Amino acid sequence: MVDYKKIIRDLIFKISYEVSDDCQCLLDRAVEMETDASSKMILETIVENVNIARECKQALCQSPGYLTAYVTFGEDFFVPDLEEILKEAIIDATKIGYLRPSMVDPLTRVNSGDNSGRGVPNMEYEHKKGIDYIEVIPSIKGCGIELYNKVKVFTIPEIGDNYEGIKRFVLECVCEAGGTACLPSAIGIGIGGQVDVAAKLSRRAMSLRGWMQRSEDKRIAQLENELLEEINSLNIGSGGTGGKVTTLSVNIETAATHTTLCPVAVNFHCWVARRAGIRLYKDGRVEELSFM
Amino acid sequence: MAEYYLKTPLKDDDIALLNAGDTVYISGKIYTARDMAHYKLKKIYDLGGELPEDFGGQVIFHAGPIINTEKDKHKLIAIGPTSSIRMDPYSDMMGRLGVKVLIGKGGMGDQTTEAMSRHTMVYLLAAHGCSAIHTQKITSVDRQHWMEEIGMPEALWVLQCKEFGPLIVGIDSKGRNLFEETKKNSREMVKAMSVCGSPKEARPDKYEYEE
Repeated sequence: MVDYKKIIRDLIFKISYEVSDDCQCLLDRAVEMETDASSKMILETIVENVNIARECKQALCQSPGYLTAYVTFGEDFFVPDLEEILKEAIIDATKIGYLRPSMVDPLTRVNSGDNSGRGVPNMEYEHKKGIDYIEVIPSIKGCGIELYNKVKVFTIPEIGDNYEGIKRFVLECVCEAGGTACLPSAIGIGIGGQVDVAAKLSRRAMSLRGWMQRSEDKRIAQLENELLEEINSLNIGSGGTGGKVTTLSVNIETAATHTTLCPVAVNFHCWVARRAGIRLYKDGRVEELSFM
Repeated sequence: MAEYYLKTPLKDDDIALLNAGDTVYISGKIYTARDMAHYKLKKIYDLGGELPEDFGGQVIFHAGPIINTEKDKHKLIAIGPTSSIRMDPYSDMMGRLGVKVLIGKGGMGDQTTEAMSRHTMVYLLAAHGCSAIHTQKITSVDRQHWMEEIGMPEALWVLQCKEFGPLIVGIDSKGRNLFEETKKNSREMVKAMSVCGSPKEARPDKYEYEE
């Protein structure tokens, strides 16, 4: 009998004290690359913090962020009470002190005290035909940075030649956010669908795909690389006080949209990549996923 | 850039020494306050009521900690800076109350820059998302105000710390605000930037448009 409760709880605990492998690798590189003294000091503190949190199993960040769980399933295997297990895992992680109780009613602002609440965690289900496993990727994204997320619905002339309009929009969002974005950030961009689709894609882009992986679509991969280079040339740095490394990754996902419009969602992720993935197989095997 | 080790309470002379970009470590008493504690302090201040603490020469840390309380004994589990910009409208009041240092993340705006020049204060940047490190520098939790009313993260906590840092002077008392300077420069760079790097074949030759 596989103890799914324990597996999921351990996974939630783990992401509260351990960043994913891609993030760790990019942060190590960022320290090497940075030449600005203040931003280098911030990056060194961040890397030291990552190491202490992992070794001592302590919360990486005092802010618990917001949990979205991505679940991919096939026809013949499912863990029926997965959502309930995730909810309990969050409450357990809060009791232990891995997550600060921060979920409140959006209008009354009443805090539940244990991070439970309507719609928590946010579940994103995807059906994939023919798979004999269920894939679970919980992703805790920080909230301070949410203040600067933006959605804009572009018209065709606004998109501009070579997507200039979209690129300027992204760059302006980066300038506006400045150091508040818990830099170095990752930026997820959703393009297409309607506003809700673009927003969902923007979160998926940086939660599901590794931060060192470029899009399989060459044209989009090029756009990601150009934006990354342009953002890092703006001399914002990890402290927002100047520096070379402002953003670790730009991940873009697209969906078809209507011929009249082009919704674009820009979504910031702080440097704390609290996410991990597992595959639970029908025969009881458990496989851990890498984001490298 | 210079490095300073300061002990609270602080005087104007301590603050006037600090320049944007310097590194600071703080020891002594610090207060945590974020959105709700600021909101409550402002209400009391505006009505001329009695404040729960004397903030003369003190340090305010924009943070919402995780603290376990058992039988009136407080134990700090985790602490780190929150986005300071939300507290921008309160900086002048803080200056009037005698606060000398604000600590947080992400920087603050023009209202704070002005208040810091007016009242001889500084804004110190703490590494964001680094609670494992910051928590180690807090030596004790003395007391709290308003936890029952506004909750643990929002409450006003009184802490003792030892060489809390490294902290970077982001806004000094002479009118320099590194965050605003960086923002202004980056905006100008975007305006001047040619961002049409993609090759022509990356886009369709013509768009079809229909209502």
